[in-house]
Amino acid sequence: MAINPHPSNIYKPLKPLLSVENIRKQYVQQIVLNDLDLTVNEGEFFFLLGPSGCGKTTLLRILSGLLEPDAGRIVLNGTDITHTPAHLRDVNTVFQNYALFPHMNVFDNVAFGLRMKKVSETKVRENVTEALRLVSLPDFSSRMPSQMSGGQMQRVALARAIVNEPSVLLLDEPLGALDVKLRKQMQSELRQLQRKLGTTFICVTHDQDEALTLGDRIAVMNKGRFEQISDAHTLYNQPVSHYVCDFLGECNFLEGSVQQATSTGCRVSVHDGFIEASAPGFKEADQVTVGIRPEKIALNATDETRQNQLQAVVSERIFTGNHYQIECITPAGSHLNVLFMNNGSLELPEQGASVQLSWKNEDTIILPMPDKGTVNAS
Amino acid sequence: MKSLQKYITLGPPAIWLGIFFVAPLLIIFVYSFFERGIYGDIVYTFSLDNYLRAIDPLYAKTLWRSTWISVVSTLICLVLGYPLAWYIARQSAKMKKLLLVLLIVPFWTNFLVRTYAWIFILRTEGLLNNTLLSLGLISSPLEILFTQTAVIIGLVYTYLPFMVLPIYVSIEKLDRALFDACRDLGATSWQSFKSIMLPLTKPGIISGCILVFVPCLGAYITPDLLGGAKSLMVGNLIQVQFLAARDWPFGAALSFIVMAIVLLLLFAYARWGTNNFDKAAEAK
Ligand SMILES: Nc1ncnc2c1ncn2[C@@H]1O[C@H](COP(=O)(O)OP(=O)(O)OP(=O)(O)O)[C@@H](O)[C@H]1O
Ligand SMILES: [Mg+2]
Repeated sequence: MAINPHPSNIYKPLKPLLSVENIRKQYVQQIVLNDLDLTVNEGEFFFLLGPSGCGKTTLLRILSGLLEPDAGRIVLNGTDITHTPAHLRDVNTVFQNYALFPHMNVFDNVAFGLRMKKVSETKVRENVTEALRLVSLPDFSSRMPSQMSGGQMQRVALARAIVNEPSVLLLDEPLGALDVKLRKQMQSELRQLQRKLGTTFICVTHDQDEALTLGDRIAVMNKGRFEQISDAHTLYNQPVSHYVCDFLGECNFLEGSVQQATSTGCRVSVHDGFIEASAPGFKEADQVTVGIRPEKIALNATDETRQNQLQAVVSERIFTGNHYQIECITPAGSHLNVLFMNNGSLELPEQGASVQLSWKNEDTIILPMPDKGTVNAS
Repeated sequence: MKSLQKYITLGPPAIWLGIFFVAPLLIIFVYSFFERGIYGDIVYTFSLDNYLRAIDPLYAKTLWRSTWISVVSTLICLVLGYPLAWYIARQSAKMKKLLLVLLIVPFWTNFLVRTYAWIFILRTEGLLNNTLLSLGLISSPLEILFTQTAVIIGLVYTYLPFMVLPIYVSIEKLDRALFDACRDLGATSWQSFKSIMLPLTKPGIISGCILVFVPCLGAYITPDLLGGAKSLMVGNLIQVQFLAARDWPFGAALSFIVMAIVLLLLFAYARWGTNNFDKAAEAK
């Protein structure tokens, strides 16, 4: 995965811009946001990732001021804005279904925010034209929203928000309604736009690919809590919970208990024998879940560095175009998926063939046993 | 083949409209050019006298007063009905149903009885005056009954639901997210009302105004009972011509003038509507 080489992300010291402290929101029966803490830095492309109903939109509405939290504080640029009404906040939102004003043309839609601020009409014209150029819709000023495609409306919604030059731009599933191809294209445009503007973006999604591809940092949400807040690499390679590990990508899970623990790693006993990991922080007799990503497992490798080895039988082969997925069963009955690229480097094993699975210590993920609630959620 | 199908589907409604709408209108129209005989019969000679008589200040004044009373009643209905429609639209689904039913319930009782109830409320020793007097808010009773005010109160009372329902429907159709977007972009409550809610509920407002104005202009029971014996509105005048004076041709002419006013307004609205549409189309 490409590491974004943008200077603002590498050379500039991180400066906290927005902080959320102990935010809580409760509806009659349900705690929707459970004491959330979060700090977002200046110029960051931040993602809130979680399944439907976990409270993402609720948090976004609290940040924009459209909803009051029951408890907690929001600080923007050093000022407490918890009780500042939405229309006075230096924050703008791109709404889930665009919410363009149907009776206004594109120009008036984009100009709306500036006109509310009583900006002079010459300046309005200038800024709106520039914003429409930024979202590649320079000639659409006089179109009505009903005469545009989803992708174009998306761009107008974006222009309508960024033209106000907010400190923070909130985006609620901005690409959710677009088809796959267009979504990919808009993803990269969104990234470029964010770099060009240097504005802090907080983007809500339930699409893990989108978050992993675009996000400088990602907060994984589950039932009104943050499970983990981190950059994409750490989230994927060192998830802290079963939930995060399962939510991001595929993973094989085996249950076991720690048999031996040192300061640099541990050895876990599972049904199929022993698995070694370079994960510190566990102690002997801990009940744990071992996670191995399918693409980290090699078939019949002779490589000495792959310390973990398991014998298994191929039960299914699935071809998905750019890669193969091989399902294997170990003698102890564990199911493991293996993924490898369709690049001809490996001979495809027959169904029923005996294979050796192997992977490196550092690729073993050790997770504390999830409590019941989390298991159900995933 | 296709056109045959069209005629078959359009046929029954066309016949229905023809018998119950166009034919009576035609009859009235033709009558308006005849003359009244000495014994209240109809003399079948062509004349424009009825129309000339209608422009006579005596009758023109009533026509003008009717229009004015209808405009005022419509505006009051709008001012009362808009917030009411908005309030209903904001309630939970269950509450909405209840409030809408309550709004329509008066139609289930006899119209005359309801209007008599207003006499009881508005008369010198009526409910309103007694209440205000006993509260010490006024020292002598208000003389409301048998005035224009009483007629306007009666008309507003009767036709308010016709204003509320179409406005309610247009508010209900609004996407809540638009208001969020509006607030988010820095608009105050008043600004979002002015720039989003009002323009987007305009169709409802216009329908409501037409639905209230048209029956107000033709009203005769309400002004008859609440306005006293003064033939305040053109509806009474027409009624008198047809029943008491037995001057059908003149009554027909007056009816046609009222209809012309209504048609003119509808035409103006249609023109205005298409003009706006053209502007939107030009913008493309
Ligand atoms: N006004 C409300 N009254 C009661 N419950 C609500 C209300 N608004 C939201 N909720 C509940 O809060 C939870 C979180 O809702 P929210 O809209 O934040 O989810 P989300 O993460 O944005 O989901 P999605 O991905 O589907 O948009 C949901 O379970 C929802 O039922
Ligand atoms: Mg949502």
